[in-house]
Amino acid sequence: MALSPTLCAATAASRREAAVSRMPRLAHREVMLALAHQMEARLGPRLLPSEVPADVAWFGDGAVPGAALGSVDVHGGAPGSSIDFMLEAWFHRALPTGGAIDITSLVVFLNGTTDAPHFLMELIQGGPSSLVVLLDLFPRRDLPVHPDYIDKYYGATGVDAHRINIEKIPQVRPYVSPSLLVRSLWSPTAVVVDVQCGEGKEAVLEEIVRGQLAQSAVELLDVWLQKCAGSVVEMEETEKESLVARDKMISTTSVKLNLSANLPKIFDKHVSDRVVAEIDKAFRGP
Amino acid sequence: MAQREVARAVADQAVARLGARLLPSAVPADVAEFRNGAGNAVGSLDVHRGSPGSSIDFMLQSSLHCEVPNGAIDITSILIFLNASTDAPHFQLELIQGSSTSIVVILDLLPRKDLAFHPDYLQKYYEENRMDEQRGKIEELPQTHPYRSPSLFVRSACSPTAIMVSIDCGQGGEKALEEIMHGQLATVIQEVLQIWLDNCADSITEMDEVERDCLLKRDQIVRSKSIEVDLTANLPRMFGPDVSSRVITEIRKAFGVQEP
Repeated sequence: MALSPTLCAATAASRREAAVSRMPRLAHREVMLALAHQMEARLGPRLLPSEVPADVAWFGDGAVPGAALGSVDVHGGAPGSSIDFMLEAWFHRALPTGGAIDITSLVVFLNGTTDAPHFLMELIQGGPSSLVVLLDLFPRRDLPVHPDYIDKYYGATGVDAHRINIEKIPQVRPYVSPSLLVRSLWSPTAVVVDVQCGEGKEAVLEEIVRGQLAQSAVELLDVWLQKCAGSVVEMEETEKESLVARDKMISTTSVKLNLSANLPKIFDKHVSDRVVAEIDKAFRGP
Repeated sequence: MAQREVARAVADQAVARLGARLLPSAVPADVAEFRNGAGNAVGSLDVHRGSPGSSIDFMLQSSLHCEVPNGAIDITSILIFLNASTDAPHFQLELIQGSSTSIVVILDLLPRKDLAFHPDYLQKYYEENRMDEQRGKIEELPQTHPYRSPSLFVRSACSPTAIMVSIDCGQGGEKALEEIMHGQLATVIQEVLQIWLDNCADSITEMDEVERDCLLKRDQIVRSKSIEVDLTANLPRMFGPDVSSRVITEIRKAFGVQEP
């Protein structure tokens, strides 16, 4: 289907906005909306149109109380670009207790034309005043063996400043994943935190989300777009194969342990199976 | 001094258990103890190489004491590195104390494989050993905060169950810190060392040529970078060029790393 790049972006953007507008208003979703929009606009023709079926691009019935609502979209990278795919996922479920779970993810994986880190952001909101934030330039090499890689993508870029600024916020503490494997994949500058503002303190969380978090995410995205998405790194064939194999392993881990584990808790089995299959397809590649 | 006592106990425990697997100390007298010209910094270094046929590469103990305007800095390191007859993690303990009321503790079993590619390694040496429970015991202390090494390399090289904390008892907290150091901290350090002695020091891993090369290469890079960033960063500042280069030479020898 030969749509022009701008039309693709416009279609995707409006589809995304339509999905989000069918979910309750949430500050973190607005921040992610802006980020996804920025990502797509800057990557432009490096992204192909989405081929995700309609019943994955949007699922759930807003008219049913307590229904789970969601949208998953995947754009493959255009041939010749450094992009493997862009994945976004938007989930909402109202809970019988009166609260809700809201999970939003934005992940862009690069391919074997570069060794630069992937972009990963996930917000997991378990209530109005608490939020887990995962934000990282996701490393693709065994870091201790590649100190140059650490210097190039994490030292010289100054991205540790974002982790420091977020961790300074009093309501923020480290989020320690129960999975040792997930812990081992983060970069040394990853933002992996739990923001707990306390009962009744929704406004405090909102300020943090719209303030420091939004700012750091935008700046980190900018660094990634400039230093990673556009990069080309020459590699020997064996090195490249090794890198791509490692990508497969880490994506299997992060998908299986993060999204796939949580989805069946939020959605009916047949919905989550469909969604997980679509996400799996993105990571596995053509 | 609590730090010295805790470190002494650890070293004694390791030496006692490793016994004949360690050769006698190989360090010349002017490196075993060293001081700077001004007399306000003293250090010690002890290295035992592993005996032939053992899995031990070397055991290194070092201490640095440096007087500063409002107190002193004390740094103690105990490293026990394994050789290529096993892929088990190395043992690392560092205690960095800048005041009598706070201390930085780094306690870890340093992984020797790319964990992303080897979840079975993680399972074997970290999950089955329940290393994370040890981390929990320290982090549940209210005076504890995470310590982020200023070196991104050091952060990357540690395991997912590494204990990297600062224990800060605040003004007037000298006694409280001492109690923690002799109490919960000493207990956890001892238990981690015991886990390491039981599950790592004794182990032998069958490896093919490719795996062994990979392990050696990884070890080599991690070692030389560790020396550069960690052990020797402070020496020239505290001890001047002559003394520190003598000491660094011995450390490089222990690690089997060439001069750059």
